[in-house]
Formats: sequence, structure tokens, C-alpha cells
Amino acid sequence: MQIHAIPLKDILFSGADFDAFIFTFPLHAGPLKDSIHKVGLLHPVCLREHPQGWQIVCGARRVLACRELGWRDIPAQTWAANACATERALEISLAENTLHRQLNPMEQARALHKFHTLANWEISKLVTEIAPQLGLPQSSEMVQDYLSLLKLEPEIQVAVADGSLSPAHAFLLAPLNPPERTFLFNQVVQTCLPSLNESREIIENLLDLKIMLKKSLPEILEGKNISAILHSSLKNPRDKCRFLRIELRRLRFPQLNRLEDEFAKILSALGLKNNVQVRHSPYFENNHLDFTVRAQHAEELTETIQHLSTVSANGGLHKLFDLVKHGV
Amino acid sequence: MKFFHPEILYIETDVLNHPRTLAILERLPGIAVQPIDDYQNLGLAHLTANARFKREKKGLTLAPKRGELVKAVQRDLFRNIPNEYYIVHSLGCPFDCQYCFLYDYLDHQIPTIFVNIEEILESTQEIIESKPFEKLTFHTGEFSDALAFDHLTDLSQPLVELFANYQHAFVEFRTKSANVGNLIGLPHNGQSIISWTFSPQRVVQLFEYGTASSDARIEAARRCQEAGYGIGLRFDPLVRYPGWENGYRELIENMGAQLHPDLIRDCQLGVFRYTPGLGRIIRERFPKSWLRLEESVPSGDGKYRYLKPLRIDMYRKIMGWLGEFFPSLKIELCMESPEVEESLAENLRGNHKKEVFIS
Repeated sequence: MQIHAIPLKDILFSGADFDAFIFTFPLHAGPLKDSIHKVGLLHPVCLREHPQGWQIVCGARRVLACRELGWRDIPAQTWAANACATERALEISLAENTLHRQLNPMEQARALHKFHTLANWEISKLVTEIAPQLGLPQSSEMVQDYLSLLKLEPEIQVAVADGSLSPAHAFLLAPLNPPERTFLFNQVVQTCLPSLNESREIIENLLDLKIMLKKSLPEILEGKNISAILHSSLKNPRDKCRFLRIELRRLRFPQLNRLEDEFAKILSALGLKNNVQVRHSPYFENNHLDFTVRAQHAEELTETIQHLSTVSANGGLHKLFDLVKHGV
Repeated sequence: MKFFHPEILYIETDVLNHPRTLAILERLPGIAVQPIDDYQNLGLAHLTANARFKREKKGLTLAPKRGELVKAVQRDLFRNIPNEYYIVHSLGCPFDCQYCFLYDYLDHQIPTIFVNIEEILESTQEIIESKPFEKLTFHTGEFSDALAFDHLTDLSQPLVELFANYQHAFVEFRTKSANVGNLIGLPHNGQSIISWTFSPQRVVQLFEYGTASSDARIEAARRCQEAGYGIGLRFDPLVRYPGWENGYRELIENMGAQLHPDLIRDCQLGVFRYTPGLGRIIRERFPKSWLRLEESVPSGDGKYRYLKPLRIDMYRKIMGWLGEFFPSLKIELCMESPEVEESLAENLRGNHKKEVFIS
């Protein structure tokens, strides 16, 4: 292996394919600049010959740090273009990167994408060859999901890379169209911090409402009630998330919501004691009601049951039973 | 409706020279043929659901049926429905109904025809002859459409002829096709029932791709009645969509005008229902479809169904319209909860109830 001092001005850092083999995202020198300033460059970078100069195979952040430090040239292992095919260069880059650190999800996506597009590897080959090196599950769905991260807007990609947005959250955003995705990311994900399951529920309900109400996703989120929740002074994002989910469910399931409201209204009118709870079955699927009585002594229990009997004998519970049975 | 004509034929090597294989090949001149080892390992799993299913539906597989050739119908995981059976002549369907449970049931969607029909018929005959004093019903449209491949296999002919010999056994062909040419003129002796899933034309257009139109199904049913067959009416799934009341009312009126009430054996109603898995598939494949948008909630068996008052309302209206045109029709609910059965007790009075799921 021969090491040469290569002028930094000859190393490509812009243009169409300067980053063909660079997985690093976002690309900045970070603390490496200080480190190189203090102790110097410990490892040479790897470069491949290119008609316009030298293409970085490994060491993009080192090249950037040295440029920022005002170095004129940098020690590099070099290959002629014909001595290092594209596929080989990608393999070297991947091996070098994964040896020293865990790639962030955006970098994993970029690695998969480059093997897919530059080396023309099929998805099935990415699954068996690249996914294990990246520490990803060997599934074509997972590979497709990671590839979908690359169509996200830069601000969302940065959030995925820095860990403030999980890849699984980002997978849910990926199928949306760009304006909707950005709106949802800024107005809901950043504001309400929903869990993965909550995010799925919110997005599914929004997409359904989009068709049902014939409105765009931002139009729905800017509706009076939802907008009030999102722009409320509630400090805890979890509270916002909870209220948002309730409101979306009310819109998405109006008949169920009507039944719930009606049930609560009838129950309230019965004037039952506080130590009695009445529950209908989930989604009103069954015709029965569950009555729970809490009592601390026999007299309290007797009194509560007597009151309940009186309410029932007066026909007070009929409406409640009719509602769970017939929906009216 | 165009008859199914696959673009590629996968044939298991064991049956490359099977007489049924050769007969099907003769009806598909020039088709690309690919020998395979096992029909169960054919899926295109690396593609997205939509791309995968679209491509898979263009193929056809010929294979031998191994294992159970005729299966007992199960009420649930542990209990069979006595004396009802499925004849497993094929797996998967050339049609592409958005709501089809097979998308969440089969490993892949390449339709498979089992060519060892003689063995399947023998197995059927053995069961029929082993229970000479019981009324037996055999279904042929559970894992596929019963008649969608009939122009390739002629399977209906030996089945109808077999059942014609036994007074205590019936075979039901359930279909969304109008592929009844082979049935007309066969000596069925009243032992074959041809059943259609009837849907308003709007439902056919929106959700039942590749199937016969609503009118074509009614016309096919009329032809079968003319040939002396008893027919079955299957409104399953009943689908709520904007304007469903007019759609179903019109459909039933058309049926009333063309079908003879005395030659209708029975009628089954069941609302659209789906497992969570199928729900995910529908959402992925048809993100803008109305199919899932009516209010569906998890029921006792884990499947999603319309909210109980919505389905009671739907059943009640459909039963009312059916009653106008077919006053003595025997109506059953399919896969419905005891609570819904109870709410519709008045409407179902005198009808036999079956397939009630356990909640």
C-alpha cells in the first residue's frame, strides 16, 4: 500500500458524484477538527481517481476537517479508477465505516441506497449482504423501509440521524406526500411527541379523515378543535397527544362517539351514587352492562344496592340497556 | 367478464405430464411454462404488496393436492360443523376483490389448480358413501372461486355427475363469475346448488376487480335456474358505501324481476369483516378505498365489523327488501354474533341459524 500526499484542492467536494462512496450524514467535521488540530491525522484517507480530481472513498470528515484547518494536502491511499471498481469502493467504504462506529439510520439508508443504485444490487442481495453488516434485520420490508428514509425532507432526515425521531416513526411518515409530511412532522410529531403506536393511530385516522371529509391533512389539523389543542398552552406534550387522539377518534368514528356521549348522558341523568360504576362492553358489541359497586362496610353495600334497585324498578335503566342493545 | 387467461404457467415437476396438465396446456396455447418444485414456495416476497399481488395474479400454478383433499368445515379452531365439507380443488383466485380474506391467509396469490382431480373426487365419494343416512353438504368456493377456472378444468362436470348419484349429498358451487357454460345440460338431479355473491354494480366496480358484473351474475343465475338448478343467494360481504341503500334495493329489485323464487335454495347475509392483518393489507394496497372507512370495530372473534347498530340496520333493511320480492326465502346470517342474531330474531323467525361465532 502506498501513501501519497494529495493536495486538498484536488479532492472533489462538490458536483454530481463527489459523495458516491460517502455514507456520512450529516457531513460536518465535528469534534474531529479539534482532535486533528491537537494530535494530527492518525489514519490516511482513501481516494479514487476521477476525471475531475480525486473522489473520497473513506475519510470524508477527515478531509473536511483538514480543509477547515487550512491544510494544503492530506496523506491518502489512492487507487486508479480501473484498479478500484465502484462496487469495490463501496465495500471498502462500508467496511471502514462499520469497523469504527455504528452508522446512524440515515447513513444506513444511504449505504443501502448506494449499493442498490451504483452497484445495481437487487433488494434480495442487500438483504443478505448489506443488512447484516449494518446490524439491520434481514428482511426485504426493512430494507425497503430504510430506503424510503431518503425521500424525507432534510429537516426530518436530520432528526432521524440525530436520534430525535426514531426510524420507525420516520417509516410511518415516508408514504405521505411532502407538504403533508412536513406539516405533520412540525405540528404533531414535534409538538405532541407521540409514541410509535400513537403515531400510527394518528396518521391512520388522519388519512381516513382526508378521504371522508375531502380535506387535506393540514386543513384537518387546522380545524378549530384540533388547532386549539395543538396551539394550547398545555406544557406536557403527552397531554396534547392524548387530547389530539381523542379528537381525531371523535371525527373518525362519529357514530361510536354519539353512542358514547348518549351513554354518558343517560348514566349521568340516573343520579347513581359515586361508588357505582356502570360500563358497557367494548364498542357496544355485547348487550350486557357491568355494574361495579365499591363498599367499605355492609351498610354501605345494602344502601347502594337498594338505591340501584329503586332506580331499576322505576325503569331508569331501560334506556341504558336499550342503548347498548339497539344503539338508540 | 373475460375468462381468466394467465401469462405464465408454473407446473410442479411431478405433474408435468399429468393428463389434466396436458389438457389445460392445450387450452392455453403459447403460454410460457416454468417447471417448479413446490407451489408453496413461489411468492415474490421482496415486492410491495400491491406490486406483488398484481404480478402474482397473472400467473397460474398446476400442482398435485397433497394431504387432506376434502376438509371438514370448522366453526372455530376446535369444532367442525357436522356434515359440511370443503372440496379443495384449487387455492387462490384469479379475481382481485379488495376485501378477500385470502390475501391474509395464503402465502402467495398465484392461483393454484390441483390436477389430481380423480383422487379428489374419490375422496369425496368415500365420505358420501360413509354417511348414507346423513344430509351432507360440500362447498367448492372457500379457497378459490368455484367456477373461475372451469373453462380450463371442466371440473364442474364430474362433480355435478358424482353428486347426481346421491340423494343425501349436495355440492355448492360459489362464484362471482358468469362461467356457467359447462353446467347447462348436465344431469344434476337437483343435487348441485349454484351460489353467487351478489353485489350492487357500484360494489363490483369499486371493490371486486375482474369479476362478472352484477347483471351478468343475475343472468347466469337465471340460466342455471332455467337448467333446473337450485341457486343460493349470498350477500356476503354486505358493504356500506355512500348510496348503499339505493344500490342494494336496486340489486334486489333486479333479482326479483329475473329469478324464480321457488328455485332459490337459501340466502346468506354477512357484513364485510376483516382481520387486523387484512385491514393492513387493504390500507397498503388501496389507501384511498372507501371499503374500510365505515365505522368498523373489533368484535368478539377479533375481526373488525361495522358498529353493531350499523349492521343491524343494514341487515334489517336488506331482509325487508328481500322479503318484498322473495317472501318465503330462508335467510341465514353468516359469522354474526349472538347479540345481532337476537336483535334480528323477529326478522329471522323460522329461519335456520348457523355459523354464529363465539364471543
